[in-house]
Amino acid sequence: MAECLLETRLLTKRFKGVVAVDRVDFQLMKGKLHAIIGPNGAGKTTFFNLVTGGLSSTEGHIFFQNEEITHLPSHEISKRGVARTFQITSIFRDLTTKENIWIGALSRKRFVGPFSEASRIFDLRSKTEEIMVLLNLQDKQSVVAENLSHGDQRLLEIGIGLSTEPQVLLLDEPTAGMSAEESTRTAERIKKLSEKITILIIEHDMDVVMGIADLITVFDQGRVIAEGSPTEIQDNPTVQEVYLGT
Amino acid sequence: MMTRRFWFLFFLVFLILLSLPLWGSSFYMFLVTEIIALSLFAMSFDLIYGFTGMLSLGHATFFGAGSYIFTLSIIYWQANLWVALLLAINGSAIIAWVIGFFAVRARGTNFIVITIIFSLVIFYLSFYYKSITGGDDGLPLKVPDLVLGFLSISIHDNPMANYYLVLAVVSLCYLFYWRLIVSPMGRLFVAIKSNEERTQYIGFNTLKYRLISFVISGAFSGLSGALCSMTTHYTNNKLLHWTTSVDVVVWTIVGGAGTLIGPVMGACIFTFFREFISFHFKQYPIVIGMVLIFFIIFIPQGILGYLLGLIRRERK
Repeated sequence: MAECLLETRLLTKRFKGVVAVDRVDFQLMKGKLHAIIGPNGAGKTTFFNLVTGGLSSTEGHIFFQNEEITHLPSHEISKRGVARTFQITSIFRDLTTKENIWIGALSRKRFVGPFSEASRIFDLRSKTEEIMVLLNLQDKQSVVAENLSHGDQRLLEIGIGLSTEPQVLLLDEPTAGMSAEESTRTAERIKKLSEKITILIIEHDMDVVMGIADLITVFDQGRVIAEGSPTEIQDNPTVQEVYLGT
Repeated sequence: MMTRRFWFLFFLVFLILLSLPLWGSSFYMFLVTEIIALSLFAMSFDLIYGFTGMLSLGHATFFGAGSYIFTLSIIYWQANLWVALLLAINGSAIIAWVIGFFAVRARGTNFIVITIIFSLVIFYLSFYYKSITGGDDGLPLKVPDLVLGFLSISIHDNPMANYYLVLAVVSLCYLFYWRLIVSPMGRLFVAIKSNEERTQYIGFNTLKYRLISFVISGAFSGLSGALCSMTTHYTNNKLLHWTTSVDVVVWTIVGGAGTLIGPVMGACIFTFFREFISFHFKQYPIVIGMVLIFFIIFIPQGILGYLLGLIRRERK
């Protein structure tokens, strides 16, 4: 029996009359690469914002490792081991690649001191080094983040997430704005990452998801309308109707 | 090569400052003492604006509070010089904590408005309690002697001792700030300035760190106010006025925000400017306004930021 890492029960978010997320029951199992797909406005990103504390839910509950995290602020949720990336790249634009990842690693320290010299903290340095090698960003470590290519910025964003040593990594459209070739490469990287860490991914690009996900959940108008393996989802008539448009 | 040139410049400036009382006239010594004291105010403002990204338009509150706490504790309690200085730091820190508690919850324009409102309220309170604060007439002050073990040195009648005391205190504060900005906490301040939302999502309670930054800045602004009163033997509620808040913003933007030394250069330039131009030219605030607009449009990184950019380009 696989362990359930993240669970939502009847999770609901209303914005002035619009129900963005509607009574969603969702489970994320440890070790899986789970994808959420759905048309624009289906409530995927709102769901992410609820789970990571960026928004507060109207009703329902969220559990992480069997502890309730509903209504906790985002920094508390991060501390428990949930990391995320954003659909619109959110990095420290005027810090270097290295500093971007370093700051993430710093967040796991209990004490942020005002006296010691930042560059001399060795365990943070090796951790940062390790993540840059993993994402193949080590040659660009001194480049200021805003000067990185779009693809590298997206990677760096994943790197910031990883640097917080999360149990779960939530990726919000990691291939947004990438060329087909870059998308494929990123998908391979994500697949490789999923060997070490549980990943929940929102994706627009069906091809990317079909190739790598273990399990797919389909959102439409705030509700979960289907869940299953990639082949099951492809053959599901409801999904074809609302999402694939056939 | 660069670092060697930097250290050379650094020691040169320090030597000039150390030897100034030997060759400078008493007028210059007084002016430079004031500038050194104001430098601490400039650096403190740079910590929250240049490093943490919070534009406060009410920093005069802490500067003035430090000056008043220093003066009043001497007048009413005959406080010892060290005690009066410590009270000024701690008192301003507490005031900064209270104002900051509300202010850091707001961002952008709202933050500016909250800091302005608090500083206006405190300014008008200082008029209301004129019997204590002296209002715009101010309060004269007899600075107590500096006690160092068996030694007792007069500060009040000895501008040279006063000069060295101010120089020593501000130098120590500079070392503290210099250390702070390269520390993990300092790096975190810069991250918050760069992208606060992301900083929250990686697990930092950014309100807490913005408040810490605000309180440190307030405490040392207060110390700066106290050192100014120690030098001028006087305090009045002009120090709490919003124009004082604007002054420190101008120094920081023109000198170069986020460089620590840039705002000090700004304080230096504008204080000299005030001293020599305002005498002959009554409308000098107009000139300051024009200079500020020029910098915001053409050199937003400030004088030092511009110079550092040139050096970096040359190295490439």
